[in-house]
Amino acid sequence: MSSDCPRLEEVSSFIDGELPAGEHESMVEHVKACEICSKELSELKELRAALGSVPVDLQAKQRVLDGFTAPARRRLHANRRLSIPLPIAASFLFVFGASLFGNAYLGFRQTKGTRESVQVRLVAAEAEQLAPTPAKVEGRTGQAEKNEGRSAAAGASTPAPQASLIRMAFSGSVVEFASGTRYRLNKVPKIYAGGTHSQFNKTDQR
Amino acid sequence: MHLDDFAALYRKQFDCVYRYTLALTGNAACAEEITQEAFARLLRDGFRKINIERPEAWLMSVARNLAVDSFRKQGRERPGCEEAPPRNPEQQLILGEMQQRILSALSKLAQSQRDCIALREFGGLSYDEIAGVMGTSVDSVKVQLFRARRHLRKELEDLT
Repeated sequence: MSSDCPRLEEVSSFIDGELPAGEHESMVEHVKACEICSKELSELKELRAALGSVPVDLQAKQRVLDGFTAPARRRLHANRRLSIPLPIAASFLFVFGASLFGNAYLGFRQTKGTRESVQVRLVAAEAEQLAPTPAKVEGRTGQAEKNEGRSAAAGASTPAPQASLIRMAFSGSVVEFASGTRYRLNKVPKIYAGGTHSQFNKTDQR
Repeated sequence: MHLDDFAALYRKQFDCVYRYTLALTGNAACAEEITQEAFARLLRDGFRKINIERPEAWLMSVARNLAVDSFRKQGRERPGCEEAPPRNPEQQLILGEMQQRILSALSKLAQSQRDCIALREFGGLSYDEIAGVMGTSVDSVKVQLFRARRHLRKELEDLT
């Protein structure tokens, strides 16, 4: 590799756009005239292209995301490396889930009996009315729409809520209703013909 | 930091942090682990209302420190994260021969050169930011980058 040109080392800064404005302009002209620096620039561009080919493992990207979302609670206990407080992890899922599914809002959309949400819907009004009997709290996923028919068939459907709390709820989450009463939720998987549906029931009052 | 900001930053910066740590460690499992921890710390500190002026550079700095900690714990220059077995054939294809050669070439650089080139090419940081992350001067960054590129070109002569 020839290094006869005194400006050769500057080519590296030039390709990074890190030369001061005056020197940059001067280097543009210099590269046009200097064969050595022109070759250097060309080779640095090729090197940059080669380095740019190092890929990102998309599965790793998903696994890292998973670490912040659904399995966060499990990982908090199983793997202390991920030291995110649960409310933060839950909030992250709340926002990221909404954005992933194209929901630019943090609420719960209900149209014509179909429901789309990655959040868990807590029917507060009903829970208040039914207390101290178990509150009706439903867990919903992206497949909620598909499961809607199954849930209805199993007698688990509820009227459209007039008032609701939108919360992330994991098994063990504590939710607080408008009256100030607090409940700890336990996840109770319910199995229906052709699929499963998660239901969150109130198990104790705090 | 607002959660929306974090989500946007995650989408924008994940690739940079992952590729930077992959370049530093040469190990996909390590890169994944360090990247996750770096974002976890950003999320945690963001919620603690700690002011992070340049989160992109902050992430790289955290990732770098995590990698260095990992080196120290293992008592060697490169971190000793447990190598995860290839999860499927697709993953094996992800790092093809060319990529393996690039990582191998990076591993032969002096640590400061590897840091500089990875922060620049994968992290997209400016010289000023690289100097801040590495605790050195901008002039030193220029020199390290020039040398790193020269070595890499020699190593990858037939590729470029």
